[in-house]
Amino acid sequence: MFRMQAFWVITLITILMVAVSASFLVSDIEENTTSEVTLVDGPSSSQADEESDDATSLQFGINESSEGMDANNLQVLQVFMAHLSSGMFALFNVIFLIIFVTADQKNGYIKNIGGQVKRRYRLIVAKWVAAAVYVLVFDAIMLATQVVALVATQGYLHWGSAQTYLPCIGIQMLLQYAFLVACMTLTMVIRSRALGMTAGVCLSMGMASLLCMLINVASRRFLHIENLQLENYLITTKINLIVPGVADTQIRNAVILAVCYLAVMTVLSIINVEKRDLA
Amino acid sequence: MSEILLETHGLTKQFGRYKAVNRLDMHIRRGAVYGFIGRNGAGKTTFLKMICGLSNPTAGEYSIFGYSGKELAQVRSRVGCLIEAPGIYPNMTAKDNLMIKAQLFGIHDRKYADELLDMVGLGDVGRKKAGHFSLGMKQRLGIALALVGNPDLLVLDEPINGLDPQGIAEVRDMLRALAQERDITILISSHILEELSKLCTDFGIIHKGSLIKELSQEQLMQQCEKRLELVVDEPQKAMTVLDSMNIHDYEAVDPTHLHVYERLEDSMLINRELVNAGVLPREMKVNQEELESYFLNLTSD
Repeated sequence: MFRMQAFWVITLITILMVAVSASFLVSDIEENTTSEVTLVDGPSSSQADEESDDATSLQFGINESSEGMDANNLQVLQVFMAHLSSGMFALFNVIFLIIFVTADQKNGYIKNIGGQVKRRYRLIVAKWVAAAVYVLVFDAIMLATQVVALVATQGYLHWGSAQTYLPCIGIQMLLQYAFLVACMTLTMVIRSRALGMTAGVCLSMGMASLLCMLINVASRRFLHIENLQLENYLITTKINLIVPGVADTQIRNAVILAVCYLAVMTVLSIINVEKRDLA
Repeated sequence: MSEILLETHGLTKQFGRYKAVNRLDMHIRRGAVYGFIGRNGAGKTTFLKMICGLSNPTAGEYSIFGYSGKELAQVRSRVGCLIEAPGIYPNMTAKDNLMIKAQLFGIHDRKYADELLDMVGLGDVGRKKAGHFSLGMKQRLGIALALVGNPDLLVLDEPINGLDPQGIAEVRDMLRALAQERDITILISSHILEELSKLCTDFGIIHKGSLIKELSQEQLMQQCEKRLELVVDEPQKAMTVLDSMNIHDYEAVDPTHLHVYERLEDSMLINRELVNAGVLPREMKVNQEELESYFLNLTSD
């Protein structure tokens, strides 16, 4: 995995983005704006009028907030958590992992080993373990980059409260991993790297929220089902909700959701690899 | 009788309405080099994928080393395969490609990979990336990958594709040595009967998904041997005449055709004796069927 060209390209690009964002962070905070990349403007689910179907605005994309940050006391863990919440890491991770998970099918190496393993599900377990290692290594590299970038731009190093941020970071990493497993599963089931990557990128940028909003509106209008709120069951929604000080129930729900996603996707992947032809 | 190492019963693979492999029964003896011959699109690769566990049969069953069904998982590691184009990681060296698979078998010594590379003639590739290999080099690497784990059954799908004549000869010698010295059973597919005839001990000919002929090396050579072909109305009487002439190497291929394999230079004498005995040959000729012609006649529609 670490010998793949894609790993180094994606990692270097992300390092660059983390370093650049660190250099603009103080000015963002001082201007009291959010550094934001918005791709589409449209109706917003959060501002939707429940009495009518007219909505006001929709935003999805990589949305990194500097809210709550002190320009004179930038904390490594706080900034790192903002990167995690924004979905930027998930976006790049999904690109790499879809390349990784389809590599053995694309280059045919699966023919060398697929028929010789005792049980095919081990291929899935191996990929899941590799993905977990990748997420850990990637996030560690980005954390290190963050440290260097902040020291270089600010001249000081403040870690922030580990007790406050580390639990949130841990849960966000778990949610991120569950999201990546879901994207890998989708790609393996549809057996298309192009479609899988497109879907993964769209999902990491919040496209699922748009779909859920449409379903909510449709169910309200045609089925008279109020408060469906499917977006509450999205991984990306939960990632955004996990901030320091969040209620324990939110944390518990997030962990349960991540575990459920992991379980369901693992079962799907195993069924897919056991029943279908490998080559 | 040699132990049957691989056996299939009614093995079928269907894609929608199309049967790529249709009720195929095959028998491979332990220690044999089995040539699996067929035209392009006959079903060779589809069949081999099923044997190698890459594809699930639609119907039928097969056994390897006496194991079948779910028990096959126990012996899968003893089957090495090269199916279609070699599967390699192009950004890795040949040794690294081998070590990935070797580690799956618990082999961590890199010298193991060196030995395999020497065996297939890639001992001097060094750190060259596998993606930069020529087609022939990739094919050799694929064979080396199939040999990882010291398999007892080697399944090779057209391994001589892309090799030059010297490479073909080297691979042939290597496979012969593997079969004789290491007692590896080899199932090798190709559409070039001429090449396989120099190596294989048994043959199976597939056409449109069905195994139409299974024969040994001796039987194949006999089919293509120079012979005197007789068309007679009374073959029994003709055989009596041949026996009286002390000619015993002949066979009745059908109710009117006799093939004689010895004393072909005495065809005039044979003709005279047959006529004297009241057996009038309707046709008589010395013929030798080329392997290619034999194969094409067998697989003609």
